[in-house]
Amino acid sequence: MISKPKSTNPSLLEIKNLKTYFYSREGVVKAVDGVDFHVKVGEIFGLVGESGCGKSVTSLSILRLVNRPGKVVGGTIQFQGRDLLALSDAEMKQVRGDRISMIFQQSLPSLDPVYPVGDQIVEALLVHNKMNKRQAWDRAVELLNLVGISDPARRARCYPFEFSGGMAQRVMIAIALSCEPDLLIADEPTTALDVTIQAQILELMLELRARLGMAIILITHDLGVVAETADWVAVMYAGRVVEESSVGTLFEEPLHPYTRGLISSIPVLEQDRERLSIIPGVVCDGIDMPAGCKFAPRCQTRVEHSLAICSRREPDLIETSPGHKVRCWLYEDANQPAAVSQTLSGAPA
Amino acid sequence: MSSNAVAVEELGQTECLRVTPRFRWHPTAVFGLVVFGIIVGASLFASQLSAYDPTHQDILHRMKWPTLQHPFGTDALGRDVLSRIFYGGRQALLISFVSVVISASAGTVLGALASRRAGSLLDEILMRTIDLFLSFPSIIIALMIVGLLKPGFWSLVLALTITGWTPYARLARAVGLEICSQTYVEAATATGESEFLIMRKHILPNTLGPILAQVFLRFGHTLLIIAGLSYLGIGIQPPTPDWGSMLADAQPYMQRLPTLILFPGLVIFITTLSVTLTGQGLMLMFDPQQRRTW
Repeated sequence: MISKPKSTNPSLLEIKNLKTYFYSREGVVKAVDGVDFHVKVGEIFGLVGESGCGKSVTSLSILRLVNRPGKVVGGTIQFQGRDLLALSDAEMKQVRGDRISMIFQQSLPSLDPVYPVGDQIVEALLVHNKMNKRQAWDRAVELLNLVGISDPARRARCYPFEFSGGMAQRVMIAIALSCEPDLLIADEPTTALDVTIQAQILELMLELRARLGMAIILITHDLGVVAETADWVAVMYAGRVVEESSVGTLFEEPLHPYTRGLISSIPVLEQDRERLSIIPGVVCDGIDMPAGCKFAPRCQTRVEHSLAICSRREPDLIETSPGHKVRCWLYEDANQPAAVSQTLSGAPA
Repeated sequence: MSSNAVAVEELGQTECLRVTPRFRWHPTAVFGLVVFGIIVGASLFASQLSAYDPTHQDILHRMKWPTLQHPFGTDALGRDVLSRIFYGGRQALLISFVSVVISASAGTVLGALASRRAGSLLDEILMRTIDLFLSFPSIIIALMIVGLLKPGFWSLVLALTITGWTPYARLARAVGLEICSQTYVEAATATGESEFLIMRKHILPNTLGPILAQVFLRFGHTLLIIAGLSYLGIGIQPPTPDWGSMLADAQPYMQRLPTLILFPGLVIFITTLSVTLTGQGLMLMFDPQQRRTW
């Protein structure tokens, strides 16, 4: 893990109070409801949460790719000093793929089956750069080499169906890097890959970050991936950030009951357990949100501490120690979380 | 084989070997193309191949069974059937070709546009228009158009195009809808490509396979409609020889001289079949994933 001095790095992306709602027939689904975070230059920012918590919608909102019936209804997304939500469509096209690019979970379906992969990199290059086809092709082969594809000149002429998932993800990374973006959004880039390939892809992303100096938003539900790669983490639940801190702090001293639940549900090799610990229930559906804390219905800690306020009012995101923010009533008054965390540590028997 | 061996030796260098077999001709396509080529060639060089003027009437030698002088016999006016078959494809093939090209391109573009804008007003208008066209038998619409205008080359092209573009639009929209939901279209949007580029580079090329299959099927179908219109007397007008009108002319003599029906009928059948077979073969040839299966 490369830790960088956080305070000196200028902010690259600042999201404030982002709200993305989906207007369905049954009601308004508040997929993202008041998300704040910022990403610094050259930082790997992990965005963690279970399925349906609004991670992907957040990332699509940044690129303004949310389709009907979804809509970004509030907030600001400051990127390099400009509010992306205020840009015209034409200006936004200039940003997409050039300054911010994205890779998707499904790597093979992200490639158009009718063109050789080299052509697809060329296409991405030509959208934002003034160069001729010959130069673009040479650059495409160079990029394939950069992302670790052997014999790139020959492979560039292969069609996507001739590639494995891991290789296709490398190609997608090559396309994403073609214009040397300042920010790469990786939406579950390794979820569809097996573990060995997963490690290779993560290794590649770390290496490229070191070489090209771009920031990465790494969206994942896999805390292991975050622990290995990210510098800074935000944990999302039901469209909100519930905890945010540096990676080290999050794993050493998780505050939010949901984060604790996530961490304790990771299987540990030495521990001899019959069952993995789980968080009961599922994420609420976004239409009938609980009035108070969105996690309250599933929260065991709330019951143990018999906190009544949880189901009535929603807590704010408060900073308990420098850089460590949490949205939970447990910490609303006490600035010293150690007392509580001791009673909470360890999995339920 | 040797290149594969090298790739395998590069251990740790991972994965893919070249799996696409080399391009080769599919036997069905070859057969279809050869037959269709012969028919087109015969139409092109009709004047060199025919021993007689197709409109020359020789009343003394009318209604003849095939002989050495007249290999396919003569018709009720004493015209040489073989020469008329050589000439009779010219108009029909050309009209069919022109109308299929126009209706396929227009239909595909419209359908693809509708798929990208699914649910919009444009989509709704287009689809209801297609429903309107499909609710009348195409031959009725064609009859009406040719009836209003004077029968001739361009009025036939117009009639066939107006009745012919709807299947392409429907197909392109259906295929386009599926393509629009693919991740690579989303990925293209995420790289900042314009709508036009996405349409031209991703949606249209991916609809091309099914559209091409449809083109070949419809070409044969269009030939049959032209033959039908000529049979009804509003297609290609006499004295220009045409397979369809030859059938119509032969009808009263079906029992006395069945060869008059047999030869033009066979030619229409073989032409349609050869085009369809060509289409099927080409489909298999240009799909690299299919190339391994035969």
